[in-house]
Amino acid sequence: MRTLALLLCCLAPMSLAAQISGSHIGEFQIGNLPDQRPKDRSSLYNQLNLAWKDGPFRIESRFESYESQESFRRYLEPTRVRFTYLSGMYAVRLGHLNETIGRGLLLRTYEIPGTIYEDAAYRTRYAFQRDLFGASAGVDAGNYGFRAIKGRPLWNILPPGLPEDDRRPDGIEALTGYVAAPFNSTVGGAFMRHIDAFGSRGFAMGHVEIPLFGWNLYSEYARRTSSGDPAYAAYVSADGAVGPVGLSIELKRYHDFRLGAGFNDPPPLVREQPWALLNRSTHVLETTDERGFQVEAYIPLGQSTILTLNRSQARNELFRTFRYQSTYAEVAHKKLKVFVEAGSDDLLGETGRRTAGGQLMIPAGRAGGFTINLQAQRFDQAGGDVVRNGYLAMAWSAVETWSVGTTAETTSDGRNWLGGNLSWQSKGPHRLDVFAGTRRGGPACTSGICYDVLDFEGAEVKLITRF
Amino acid sequence: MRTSWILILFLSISTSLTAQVSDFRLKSLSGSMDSYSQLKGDGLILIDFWATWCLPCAEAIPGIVDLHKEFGSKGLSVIGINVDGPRNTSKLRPYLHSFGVTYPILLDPDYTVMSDLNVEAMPTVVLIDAKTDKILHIYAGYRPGLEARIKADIQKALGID
Repeated sequence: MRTLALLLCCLAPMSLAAQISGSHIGEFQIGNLPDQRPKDRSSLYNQLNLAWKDGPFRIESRFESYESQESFRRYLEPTRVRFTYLSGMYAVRLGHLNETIGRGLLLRTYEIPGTIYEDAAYRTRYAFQRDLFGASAGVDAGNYGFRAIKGRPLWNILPPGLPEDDRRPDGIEALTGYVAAPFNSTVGGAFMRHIDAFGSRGFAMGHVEIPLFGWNLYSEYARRTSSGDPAYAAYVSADGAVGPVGLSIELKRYHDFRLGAGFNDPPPLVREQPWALLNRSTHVLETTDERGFQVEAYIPLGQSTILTLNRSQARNELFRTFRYQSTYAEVAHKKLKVFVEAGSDDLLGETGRRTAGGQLMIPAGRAGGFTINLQAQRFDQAGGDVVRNGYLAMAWSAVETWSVGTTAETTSDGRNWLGGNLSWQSKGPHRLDVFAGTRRGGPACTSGICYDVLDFEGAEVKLITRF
Repeated sequence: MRTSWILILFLSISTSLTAQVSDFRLKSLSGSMDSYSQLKGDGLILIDFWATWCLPCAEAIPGIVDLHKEFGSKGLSVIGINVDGPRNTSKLRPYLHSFGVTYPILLDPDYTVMSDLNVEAMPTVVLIDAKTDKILHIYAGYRPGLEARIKADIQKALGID
């Protein structure tokens, strides 16, 4: 794989008809987790992405490297090599792929662009993604389509540099397709075989989508076909409008449906929160057993005001019953947003949770503007303690050039975090981000994917170049 | 490490003028398969990469709706490319309904086009000359005043005072 990636870099510029593009992320850190030594631990992460395109052909590669004072954590790896042929309705992909089947009950791969992941066990930094190393080929004509997929999904908690067999413990083979049906509806399905060290097992999935009276109804059901205890996942959604009000209603029922090292990602029916404190309290789906619903409404109140309401609720029957519920309201008026939330989550150990906050942007013409974001939260933690969290972020931004800001967080156990950041965007392809101070970690959910971010104390310089 | 830096330097210099959009094809919110070449028109095209979970994206959308209304008849086409995962698919129509979005929305849950254009920040707005497919401006992230800056660039590119 390394040879192929190097060959790409050498050969790609030779074709005059071809187009080369790419990006580079370089991040230097000096600092550590607040409670760990040495305080001046330094590390350098580099990610180089190169893409070569010529007509329907495309070759992409990614190289990642990490250097730190601990030599055993260092690596330099080609972490992506992908060949794609795309012509009209035909697509063939080889190498490191991104593929999703249906709404993700059986398979979902992803990448969170620009995110660099580090966990407390390995302390190595790398791009946060879950790809599939293998091949896929298919046709998508709009009124019918099918795809064959074979590959090994990445278990992304293991960093590059470890053996590929450890990082890719699962194998999948799948055939999926859909066809247009009467009344503008669509029906489809998939068969998938999952192979790992313990053997192989089969799965079947069917889905149907029907537009009805201006509403869009979708349902997907998947189950394990091999013998053994029943394992299944059912998802139903309806979205549409009642006058000016947009409405989404979803139902879920998942049982024993964590596949392999976690290469599937059924919709969790939990609002994906952009607010830092609520994002940290996101309910994480437990596919061992979970049932529930989510309703979200968008209600325009006049010309520039939108009210968003969300209610989500779930129950897990594990060794005992766990419950989750959340009620959320947000009003957005021009550049002002305010929200309140009341919820509880037994799995997180948070009950009686109350969170409120908002963001105000004050534009200063074409020069830029000032942004202030203030949030507060309290909940009863399992064990009896009352936890109070506070969050304040302020920033001045000049359009397209630079911004400077500060973020302060506090929690009732006495810990505080204070950091400053400076961002500069050149007129060319470069962006520089500088951070200094302390940064609060914890669970974070982006692009529908939840992961842990470590606390940090020190300084960080990140340079992003696009070419 | 040294090899990486040499490659970056070489490629930055040799290819910085070749930034063009290649034709792509994605499923639209209405279920059809639509291509960039079908939607781009023959003037300017504005592509907005956005997601429902992204607070700055929600700040940017009203401004893009206004630009579409103001310049839609003067040669500006707009495409919204949504990068939400499957968990938010059912929220897209209601969400857009509340903003009064009427331009086409394409779905890129696997980041195929996003990766093709090296988009790293959300939202990212790309202004393209539809005749040459050359990228004129990339606006990464949302900051107050962005709408005014994009409007000025559109007016300049369309030759409108």
